[in-house]
Amino acid sequence: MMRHKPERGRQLRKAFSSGYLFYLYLPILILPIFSFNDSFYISFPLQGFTTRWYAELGADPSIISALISSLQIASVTALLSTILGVITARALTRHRLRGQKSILTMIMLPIVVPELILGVSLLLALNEIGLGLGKWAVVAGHTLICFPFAVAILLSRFEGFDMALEEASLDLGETPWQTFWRIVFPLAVPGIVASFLLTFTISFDEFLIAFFLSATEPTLPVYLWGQLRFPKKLPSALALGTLIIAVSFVVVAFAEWMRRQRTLQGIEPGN
Amino acid sequence: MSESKYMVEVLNASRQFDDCLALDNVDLCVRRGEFFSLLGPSGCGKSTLLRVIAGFDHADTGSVHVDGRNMHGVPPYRRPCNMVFQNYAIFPHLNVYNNVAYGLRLFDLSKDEKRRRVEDMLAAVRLDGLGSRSSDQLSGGQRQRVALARALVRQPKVLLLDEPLGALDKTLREEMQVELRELQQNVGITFIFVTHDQEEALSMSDRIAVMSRGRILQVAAPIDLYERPNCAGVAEFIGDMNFLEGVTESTASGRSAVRVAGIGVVEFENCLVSEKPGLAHRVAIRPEKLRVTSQRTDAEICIPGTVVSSSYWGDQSQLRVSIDGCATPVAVAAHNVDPLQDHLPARGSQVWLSASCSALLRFSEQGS
Amino acid sequence: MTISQESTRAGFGNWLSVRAGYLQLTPGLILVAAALVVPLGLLITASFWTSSPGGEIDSAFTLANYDKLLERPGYARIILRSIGIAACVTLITIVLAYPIAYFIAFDVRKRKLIWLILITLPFWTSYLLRVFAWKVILGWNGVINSGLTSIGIINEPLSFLLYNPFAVIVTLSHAWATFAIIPIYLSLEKTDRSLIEAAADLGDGPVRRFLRVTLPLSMPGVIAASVIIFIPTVGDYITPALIGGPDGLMVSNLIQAQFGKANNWPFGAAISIVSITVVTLIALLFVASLRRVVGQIR
Repeated sequence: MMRHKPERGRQLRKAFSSGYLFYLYLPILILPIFSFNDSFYISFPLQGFTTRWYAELGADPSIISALISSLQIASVTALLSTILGVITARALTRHRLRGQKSILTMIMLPIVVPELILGVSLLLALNEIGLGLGKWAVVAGHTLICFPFAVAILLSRFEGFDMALEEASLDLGETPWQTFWRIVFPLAVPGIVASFLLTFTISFDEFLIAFFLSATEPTLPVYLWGQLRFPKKLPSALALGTLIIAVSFVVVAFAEWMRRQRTLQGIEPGN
Repeated sequence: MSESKYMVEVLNASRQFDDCLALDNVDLCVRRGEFFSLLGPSGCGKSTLLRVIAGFDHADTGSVHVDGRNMHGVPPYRRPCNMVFQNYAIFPHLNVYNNVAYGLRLFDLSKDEKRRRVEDMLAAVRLDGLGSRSSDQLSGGQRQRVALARALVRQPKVLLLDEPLGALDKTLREEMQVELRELQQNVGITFIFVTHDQEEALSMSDRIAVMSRGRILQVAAPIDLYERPNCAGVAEFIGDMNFLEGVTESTASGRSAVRVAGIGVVEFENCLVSEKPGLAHRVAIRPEKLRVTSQRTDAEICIPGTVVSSSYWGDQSQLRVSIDGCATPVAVAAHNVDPLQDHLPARGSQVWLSASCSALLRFSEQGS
Repeated sequence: MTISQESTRAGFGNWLSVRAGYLQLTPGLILVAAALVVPLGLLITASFWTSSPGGEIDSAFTLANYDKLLERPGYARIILRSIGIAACVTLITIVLAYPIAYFIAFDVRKRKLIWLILITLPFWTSYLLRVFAWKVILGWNGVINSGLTSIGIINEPLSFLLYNPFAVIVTLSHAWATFAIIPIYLSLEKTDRSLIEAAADLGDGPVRRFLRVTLPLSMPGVIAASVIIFIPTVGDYITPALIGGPDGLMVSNLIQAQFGKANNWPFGAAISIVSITVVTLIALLFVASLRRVVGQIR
């Protein structure tokens, strides 16, 4: 305990940090505020409360289809990347394979490469091969960037896993396959759920790769992007944005809570 | 399938890891219903041997037989052994009851029979009533018992225990040692117990195998191990031992005369392997076989010495006495039986050490 | 490694052999190879092709695209501007992030988890939406201007807020906040407190303690944060597109145009390759030099 540290320094830092939090959340809060504002213009002073922008959303069929596209793509992406993530993370933690570090680097590569480059090169590749653009192309691109996240989450889950538990199960008469379902899977479930939810969110919110690859079947963010050019559509775009943010918050908060279930160590704020 | 005399037989097993030889031509026979310990320092290969028997590892050469069956190619889930792991490996997502019942899933028993077995087992390890407790609410001692119950409920032919008491504190450990021994005698199952603690092994076992560097040095009952170790390695590991330098002076018809440093020439009724005059070897004697007196006695061996240090341990005293011809002082352990002798010989005082010739042990330099 | 640890690993080698382990890694590696490595390779290859005005791609090997990049100063200017903006963003974000990372690591005792979750949550919201929110905030009739006007602080809306590099920097600094805080926090959290106490014991006041002990020890976190922020920022598309205006255009907008309206894919590929290479080189240089500088603060 540092008793030399002046309380003043601590107060200053606390004030700064609170201000910083406000600054962090400001844009996110702007959206809901003005989505209920009864005006086409996003400016002060506020004009009165209304929910008509939300009502407008419900009436627009292209929003519905964009939403459905996003949900479909996100679900498939989350499923694929989580399954791949489980297999990969398991392989990496169970066996001391040679070249572990370089394999891990390769897997994490998609996070480091800018999304623009990923989108552009996938566009190029799909064009050359002759496969069309559209939902499956987006799934491919999204799975690529979600996969490293899934591996990262599940790696930390499996690393803390006591191998003796598996051996005990084998010793007590269960085959390796049965052991996986009775022991490994239940203990990994919090991580699996967290991985699914987080990859779902990443895919759902992702814009750039979808922008390049979705062609005639836009996802919700791509659709939103299109709307930003029309001033009359601005408030309903805000309404849409608010809904997306609200859902993301809930999903992510739940995923984080899930991830921390049965974490024995203290803080693990890793992304 | 013939009824083999032994429950577990390991024949000529070797196991090489990248940089060390974990098992070196190990032969082992464990009798039915005995409490058998594998004793040795860390890294001696005892855990490897246990895992080979359990099926989690395989021997590069040699074979393992359990209850007369060759275990080659048999995975752990089909062997008639069960194991208690060092850290217990209690399944965190199951409560006590489900942990213990885990291995009964594939057994051909009715639900009621299974329930009865589990509850009887919980009672046997003194955990009755705790079936619904979740596993993270258990103390170390309780986890140990759950691990035991879980393994025993399957009524295996052999129970393998990998240093199960290491994580417990002293009092608990001693309690569990007694309990384990009683449990084993009650259920009559063959136990193979791995430990590095010689007192534990000595107090619990019917027979002990002392291991060092992948080899088995000696297999014997505790008393034989203590009184008649077959090599310097075992002698050193079990209990305390004084070692003196000896040189053979002459041999004749199965007897030998040896000049022992600090003592003089001693006649032995036996010969070491290929013993010749001039052979340098080690002569050893247990501290408690030396008697301390203030006057010379008429024992077979009686030599003078000077007390270097003394410590009082309540039921016994430990002295270190330096004698002529020996570089290191000799350790002497004396029971404080006589209440009149309630003062220890002081530092520097002259004493006489007495012993009989039969208390001396001899080992050649290479071990047995 | 003791024998028992060795045998634990090797023993399992029996049941699910090492070969099976490699097999299990294959699907993931195939994904990365097929969706990343091959397309990137294709991108590199395509940068040596040319495209006719009609959009037909001629795959004859040529350095024409790279020549074009070097000749016309406009392209270099945009690339440099992108690097400059990214550098500013990195600096500002880290400087702002450091105090709060320090606060959570040292000053907060009981509610660390809550603070960390609060900081991480914004990252999970749609980036597009956050940029759009800034557009709304900084606009001519936007939140700041209308707010200040209605309070009476200014009479005319501030024009410098939007559609220029300034706006881009402000927005990006906000977007990357979380990525800056977490690595620095982790570095600070791991710092051995007794080192700081030893410095105090040896006579250093709080400022000197910070400069001589805490700051250098947190450098790995700062370096990690810099690299994490700098590299993707150079290639950011959304922010300059929505907020940058003509003056705030960055490399990514240039690239996107080649794949969009300008319909010159090979040229776009060339710009991509050049920007990736330049950025990676700068990042490596930065990390190496910073490590040397830190070694000298004793």
